[in-house]
Amino acid sequence: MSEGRHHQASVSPVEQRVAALEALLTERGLVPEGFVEEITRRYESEIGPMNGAKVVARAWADPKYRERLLAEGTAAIAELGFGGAEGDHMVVVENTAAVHNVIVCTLCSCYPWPVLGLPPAWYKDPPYRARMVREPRALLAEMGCQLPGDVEIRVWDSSAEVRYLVLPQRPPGTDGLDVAEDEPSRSGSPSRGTGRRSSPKMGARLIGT
Amino acid sequence: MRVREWHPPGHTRCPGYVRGKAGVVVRVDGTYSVPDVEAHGSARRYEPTYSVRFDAAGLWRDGQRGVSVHVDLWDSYLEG
Repeated sequence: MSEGRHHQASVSPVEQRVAALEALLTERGLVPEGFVEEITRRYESEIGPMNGAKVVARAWADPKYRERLLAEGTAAIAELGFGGAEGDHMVVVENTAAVHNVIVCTLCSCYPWPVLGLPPAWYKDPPYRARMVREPRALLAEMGCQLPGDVEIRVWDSSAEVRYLVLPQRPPGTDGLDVAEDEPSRSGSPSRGTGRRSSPKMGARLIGT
Repeated sequence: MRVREWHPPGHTRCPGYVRGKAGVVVRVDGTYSVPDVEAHGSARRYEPTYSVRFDAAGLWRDGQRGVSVHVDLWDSYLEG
């Protein structure tokens, strides 16, 4: 126990290194004062999968928006106020009864930050990155997304500048709901699952897992 | 269209698993700085990028039918 308290009180080597790096960047004028704190705050409270969920809900509720989203992803997403780094070139791919899309970055961890936030650790893990292109049907099943054998799987490896977002199928029985009620955060919950839902986490669903 | 079978000594963003493989361009994207050049100095070269579709059966010996993998590639990664 006393050792645990000791660890909490002390500053770890990585924290020291980060602090030194930040101090140097600030001192040399490479980042303005408070910049790192501001970016951290933004990614903790404003930028995350709730943004992607808004895009999807709008597309489910508004057929014209859905058309624009599939044709010109970046511009349609910007209509809702989302854009910027790692979201400058967005392509939205649509799941149907016959086609399931899933996103991976085999080379590193490219991810559509403005609509989904920062990538979860499992998305960056080599086994996910290798197996999603090698045996996507088996990996999706292990992750809880069981697809009928006749559903085509399209894997998208974001190896250049485009970042992808999956537009999931609208869950049955949600036609009467308005946009706020119909975000995938709720419709992805077990009580209103789609049968294609693998994870309660919105972000995971919006990259196709 | 086929991905060049090359193994550059430095940085590249051409995934190894598609090198030498045949695919079909499904989307033409913008023109971007080639990472292979950018990673090694101040020089820049800009090329179009494409989303190229590969059937799993053409990538892996036991690749399943009904599975395709799309990889985004710079122009100079491709031949023919």
